Amino acid sequence: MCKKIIMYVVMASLLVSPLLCFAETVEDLRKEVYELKNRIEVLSVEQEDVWDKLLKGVKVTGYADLDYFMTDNPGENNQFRTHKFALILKKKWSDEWNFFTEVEYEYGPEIDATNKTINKGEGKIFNEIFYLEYRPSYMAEFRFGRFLTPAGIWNQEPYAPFVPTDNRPLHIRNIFPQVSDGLQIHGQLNLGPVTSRYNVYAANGAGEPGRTDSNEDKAVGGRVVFHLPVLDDFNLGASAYKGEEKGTGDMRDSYGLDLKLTIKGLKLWGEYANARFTPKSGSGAYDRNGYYGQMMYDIGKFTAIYRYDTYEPSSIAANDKTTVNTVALNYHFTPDIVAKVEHHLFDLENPSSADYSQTIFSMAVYFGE
Amino acid sequence: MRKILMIVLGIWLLFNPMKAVCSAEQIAVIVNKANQVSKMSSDEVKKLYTNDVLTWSDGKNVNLYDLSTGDPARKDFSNKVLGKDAEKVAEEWANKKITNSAKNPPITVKSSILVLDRVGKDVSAIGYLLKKDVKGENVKIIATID
Repeated sequence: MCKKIIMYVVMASLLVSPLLCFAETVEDLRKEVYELKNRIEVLSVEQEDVWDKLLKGVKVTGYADLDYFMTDNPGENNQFRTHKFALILKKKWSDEWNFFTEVEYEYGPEIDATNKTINKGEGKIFNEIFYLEYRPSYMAEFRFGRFLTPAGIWNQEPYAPFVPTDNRPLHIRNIFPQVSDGLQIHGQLNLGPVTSRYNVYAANGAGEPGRTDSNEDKAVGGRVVFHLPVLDDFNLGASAYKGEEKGTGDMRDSYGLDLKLTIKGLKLWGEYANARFTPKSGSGAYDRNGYYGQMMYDIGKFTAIYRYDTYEPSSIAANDKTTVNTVALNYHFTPDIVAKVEHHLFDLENPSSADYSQTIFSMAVYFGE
Repeated sequence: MRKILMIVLGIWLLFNPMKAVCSAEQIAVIVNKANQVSKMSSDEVKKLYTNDVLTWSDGKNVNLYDLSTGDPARKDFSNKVLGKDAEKVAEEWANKKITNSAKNPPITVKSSILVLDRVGKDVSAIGYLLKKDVKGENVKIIATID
């Protein structure tokens, strides 16, 4: 009897042991396949990196903004607008050296000397940014060429896929120049829990791009932003600029303050800026100023926006103030594609000018890295 | 009245924040085994990923690794550490890149295997992934996000 049982046990073990071995082999094979798959994934990405290095290419990015514009302002028509298309090229040789440029095509310009189309569509091609950058350290980076003037929020972050409205606040580009040709030093410094970013620059001055600088005096300016460890995000900035105006020779002294904060889904932006224009001789000095407050609330893929914006071009001219109330809604299909609808109510101080409104439907896309 | 309620409900559903459902999985923040850092708070990790801090204590530049916005670990990391949806964070980096103001943008890789591989090979790198996916001899966990 005992012999029989022993026989059965031996037979059973003989039968099961290959299965156990087989099971172990399957498990081993699975592991091996998993590891091989991971290795292939790593190798394929490494291959892409090698191609990148071999090609040593210039990175091409950019954005486009297309819209339908409606207004009840007499003299303006409702229309489709091929508003903006910009190509951005970046070449990075090393962590220290890079070249960055943006060429913007506004309103799809056509340039054809034979048919004299220079004013057709009233478009323009503008080399808005164009500089060589040297970064020996994060604390001091050097930009040489044309850059967006470091002033306030909107002037440095004007790109359609990332701003809530197609129309910018009225004072932007009127208090500080939009771009400056010159040398800029910028960097980041940590002061305890506060992160500060600064820019200082010397440039040709407002309206002096390319090689048309009309005077020996150079404009100087600077900006500082403090990122404080309060709320979800809190940035307080100040900007200043001093330079001689092209043509008139007036001295422009500008300063501005800005605030950008986030509390959960709510973002608040505010900018105030003032410029004093002083004639070389005699009287006639005047101020130009403007400010806006903007609330943005993220609701899933939607962003709801309200902005109050006011601008006065001259403190000595009567009734030239304009106030704009804006409501808008953005829908972000992806981080790079956004649809916007915005409605602006223009309230003109001048009693002889009628108030009017604008509604813009637009799509903006970023073709990034 | 019912119609109005239906419309209100419809609008609420349309605008209801589609918050990413945070998984119960723990996120591990990893560095290379040779990195001198052994522990970090969630706030310190945030400062690296927002570029408020750009270098390690020895002065070397930090190499940040990120996962793609669709990855569950990225969604969790963005919500729990950065306090924003992954898409919003991606949008902010795109804005910084278009203005050439991104000091040290994270390198986005396709999977956690690649995060392990890159961090395992680079002493200045930092990355994150689901804790259960942390494997290998070349990396160490310096923070765990619940």
